[in-house]
Amino acid sequence: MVTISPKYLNQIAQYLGAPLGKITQKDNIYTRVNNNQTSTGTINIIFSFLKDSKSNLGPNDPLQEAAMFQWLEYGIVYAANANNGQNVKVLLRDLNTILSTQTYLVGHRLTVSDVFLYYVLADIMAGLSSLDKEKFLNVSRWYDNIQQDAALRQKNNFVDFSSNYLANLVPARH
Amino acid sequence: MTTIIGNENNPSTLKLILSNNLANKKYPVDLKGPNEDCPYLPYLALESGESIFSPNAAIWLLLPPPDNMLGKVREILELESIILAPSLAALLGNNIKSEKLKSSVLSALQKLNADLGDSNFFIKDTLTIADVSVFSTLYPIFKTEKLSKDYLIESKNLVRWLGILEGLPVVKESIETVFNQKPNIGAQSYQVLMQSSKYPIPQVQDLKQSPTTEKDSPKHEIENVTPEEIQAAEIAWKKDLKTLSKLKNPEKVVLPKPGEKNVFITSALPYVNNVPHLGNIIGCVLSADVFARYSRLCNNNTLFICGTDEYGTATETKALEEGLSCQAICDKYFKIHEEIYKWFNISFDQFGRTSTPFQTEITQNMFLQLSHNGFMFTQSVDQLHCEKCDRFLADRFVEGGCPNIGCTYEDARGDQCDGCGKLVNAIELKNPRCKICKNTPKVKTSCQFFIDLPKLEPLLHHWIKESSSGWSHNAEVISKAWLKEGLKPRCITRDLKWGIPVPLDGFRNKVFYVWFDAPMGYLSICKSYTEDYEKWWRPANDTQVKLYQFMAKDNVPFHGILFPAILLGANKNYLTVSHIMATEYLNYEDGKFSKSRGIGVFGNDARDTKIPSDVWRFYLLYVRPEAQDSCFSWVDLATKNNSELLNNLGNFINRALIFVKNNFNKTIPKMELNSEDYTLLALCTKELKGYMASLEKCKLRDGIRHILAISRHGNQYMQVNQPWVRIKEGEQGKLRGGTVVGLCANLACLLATLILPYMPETSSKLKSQINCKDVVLDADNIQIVNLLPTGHQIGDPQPLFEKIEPELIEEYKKKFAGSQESRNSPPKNNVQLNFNGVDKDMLEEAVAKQGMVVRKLKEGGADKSIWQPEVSKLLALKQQLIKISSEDDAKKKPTNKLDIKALEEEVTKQGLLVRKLKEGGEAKSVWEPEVKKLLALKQQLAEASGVPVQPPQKGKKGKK
Repeated sequence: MVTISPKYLNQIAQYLGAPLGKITQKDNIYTRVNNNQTSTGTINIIFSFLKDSKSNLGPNDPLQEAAMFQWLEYGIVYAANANNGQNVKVLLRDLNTILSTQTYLVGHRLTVSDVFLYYVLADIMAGLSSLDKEKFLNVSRWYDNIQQDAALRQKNNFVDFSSNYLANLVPARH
Repeated sequence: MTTIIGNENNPSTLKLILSNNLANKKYPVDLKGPNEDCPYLPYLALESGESIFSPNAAIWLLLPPPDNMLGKVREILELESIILAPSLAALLGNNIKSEKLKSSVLSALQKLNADLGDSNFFIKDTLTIADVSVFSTLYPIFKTEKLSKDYLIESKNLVRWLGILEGLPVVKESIETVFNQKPNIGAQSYQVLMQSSKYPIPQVQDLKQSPTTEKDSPKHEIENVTPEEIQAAEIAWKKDLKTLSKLKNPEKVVLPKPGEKNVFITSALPYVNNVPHLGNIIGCVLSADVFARYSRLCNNNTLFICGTDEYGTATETKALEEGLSCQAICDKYFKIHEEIYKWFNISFDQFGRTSTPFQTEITQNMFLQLSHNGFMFTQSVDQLHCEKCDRFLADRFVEGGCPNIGCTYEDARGDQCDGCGKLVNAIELKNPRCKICKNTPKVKTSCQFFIDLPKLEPLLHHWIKESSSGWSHNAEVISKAWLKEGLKPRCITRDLKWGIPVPLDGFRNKVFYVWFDAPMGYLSICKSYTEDYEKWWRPANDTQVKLYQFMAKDNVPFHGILFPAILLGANKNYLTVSHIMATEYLNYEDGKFSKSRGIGVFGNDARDTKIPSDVWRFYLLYVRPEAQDSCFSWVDLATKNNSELLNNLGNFINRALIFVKNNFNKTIPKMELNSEDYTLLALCTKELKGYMASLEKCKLRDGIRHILAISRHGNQYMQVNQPWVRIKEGEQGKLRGGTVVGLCANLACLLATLILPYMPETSSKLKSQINCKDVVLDADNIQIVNLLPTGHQIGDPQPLFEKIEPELIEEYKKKFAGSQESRNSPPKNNVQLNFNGVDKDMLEEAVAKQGMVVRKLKEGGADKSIWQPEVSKLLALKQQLIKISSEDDAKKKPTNKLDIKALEEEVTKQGLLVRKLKEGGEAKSVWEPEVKKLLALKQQLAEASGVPVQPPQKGKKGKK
């Protein structure tokens, strides 16, 4: 399995306002050392960011904690590994179904799960054709919602989800 | 109520059931059979209607770990869910042979083995879900002797621990539920895991599967021909050459003729402000060229036109950037485009441009016609107008405070605010300012023409139903999606200068918007080709003309909706497109080609390589992004050249011809064909049919594969029949050998025609080697005749292709990495100028000139990004001037580098000091040295002013 890019950890730490600490990698596993606290594994590291930043993007109850674990795992195992056209299509199709009834991945608010998946999907979403954006409408809506926060978006490009093809090519206004 | 939904024989289901039992939750369990339609299993269906589909997350909820163990549990769960489960699913469940994957599993197991040590459980003496998760995933391995040997032989602690857990009653009970004492526990369990998970199939480098076959190549039913086909091949072979139709002589001016096939081909007009990259080339001109050449081989009356699209803002911007007039920019880039296409051997009948009087005339007439027919209306549009720059400002030329409530961002752009990310309407900006001159623009109303597309919609609906069947799939989808959304009126005029003026009073200072004027280029370029252009564009009733338009998919809305709407609205029986052939995008290595950022290989780059244009053509067409995006890769280019062109096609042709030359004195020998030979001909006829069918539908990629299949058949045939052995076996053997060689030479002759659309230069080289002419391709009568009869004299065979060495490819790969601009040395905007051997006068002149350029740019209202580099150049020049001047001064006054003004100041200062000291009644010993200093200074001043030196002043001339 491919390991996720350390870039994502960087982005999350920056967004949450947590110190990145010292990140090392061995046998596909990341370890973070900060203030003599060691966290092993990407999911642990993200939870440690939450703790260090006192962010409120973490879980409020056991259900949310499990759901967040699920989405972080999903980001690492599925989304970051969707490396060809076919896998990407399956990934987006499934995600589209799940997001058809949800605004956010966990509960009714932005959580670290949305943030993480946003970073992981950035390249895929930026490369989608207009038709695919329309096909995976719920994913597009979710992604568009998340990307509106410039602090969250950081250096990622703003992905255009306008649905009228010609509007991209020929602006109606001058 | 919360329910566990799972399936039998799935290790992940065991996780949930085991946790359920351990926590004593007693949630009901629903095990699905193998046939039930439920793609992902297991999952935990919660009372709220939500569900948790990740097994490890589900067991976290079922049996939450104690607070002091959270970190460790998460760590082990992650190891299990990221490495163990998906890798085992791939290795054992999907039978992927990958050493890399296996070693990652083994190292994870070793880590777990070490973590476990002598304990009974992973964490202290508590049974947690960490144990549950790893146990469940390893259990089928543990129960299978062979797998156990493969994976667990080094992990003694794990084996002990698996044994302990298995013995627990609660575990036993759970295992029975899931595996039901199935005899097929083992590798099959991982198959179930793979099938019911969402795991993507990993792409591992060391896949040891059989060499992958080309997925999208046409399926060849190899060695499978019917007796009828063989018979037909025999009849065709024996046909008299004289009965075949001859290729038409190219006419000076091609015009459509009644009763004949008339094919009109256009390629999307490339925009003039840039150099085209490979993606642009394959997307339109090259694809269109292949089809045009093919169409000519079919004896169709074929007209192929293209040209540069020259009007619009982008040209104006580029002109400012390069400090040239719009016309000069167009002339310059038109030439670049023309040269590149010439190098690629694009066989335009006319390569024109849109900045011609014909264009003006046709565009204005079309507009008046539409206006007359009631499809135009005017509407006023509010726009920001900068009085200082005397122009209406495009959205990205305005900045100001964000009008969105709650956002205080001061530098929002006219289209969007970077602060809050929301869209902005330029006229709503608070305190708007012109980005160029910083003045406040005013809202001005200007009246613009709109084309009333909603009125034209019914016509278009009807038309698209009739004509879209011959379009490429993406073109059809995009156009129909567009119609479905409903058409809105579109503004077709703008307040610009570089364009075609609107021919109505009150609007004469406006020009047509580029997309209204660009498609008119097809008509005007045709008119510059022939005065009789209307014979093509408004064909007579008895003349059938088919219009093929080639483009990349981003151009589809213009050709599928707007251009037809204009033509239909004019209501003058204009020809409309019958075949829109749109390609997807070609990517560069793994990124995108980008004109604006200069990434990728550009037309002129390709020309500068040592790779011949035919090889470029071949490779681009081989990877033509027909049904999906495809990718340009240097390594692949070399591989395709070496394996397909050199070893397959080139090898076959060269072997056959060399044989004729060396053994038969350049003469095609006597041939007596047997059934095996006719089978070969039948096979090749099949490929030829495939080739024709592909090209008729513009499936250019497939066409290449049929060509290569013919030479592959030929190579095999030669290998099996070994003519080099036969000819040494007496008279009979010589006849057989001669037949084989003669037949192969005949196939080479056929190939010479078939490769013409793809590789025109190679084709003509080959034709002169064989001493033959092109064959007419007749779609109604596809056959292989004896083109080179016994006695035909061939020319001198030469190798057609050359090997591309990997070193060369590495070199190009490095050379063309990064952007085009950064490759050119010295870089265009770099301020490191070469001053060697430049004297002061020359520098002063240069400063003055550069100053002019900067001033002109700033006055012209260019964007900062445009004048900034020029300004830095100016500053660099000035600095150099100062340096040289001071060096000059230094030569004249080696002891003194200060200028007069500074000296005067020094003198005054020193004088004051001395006076003060004397007044203060200081001792002589105190003021004496100061006085000396003063005298020395005065001396220096006298010297300095005595010599008429021009003191260096910063950029004096430049600022006049």
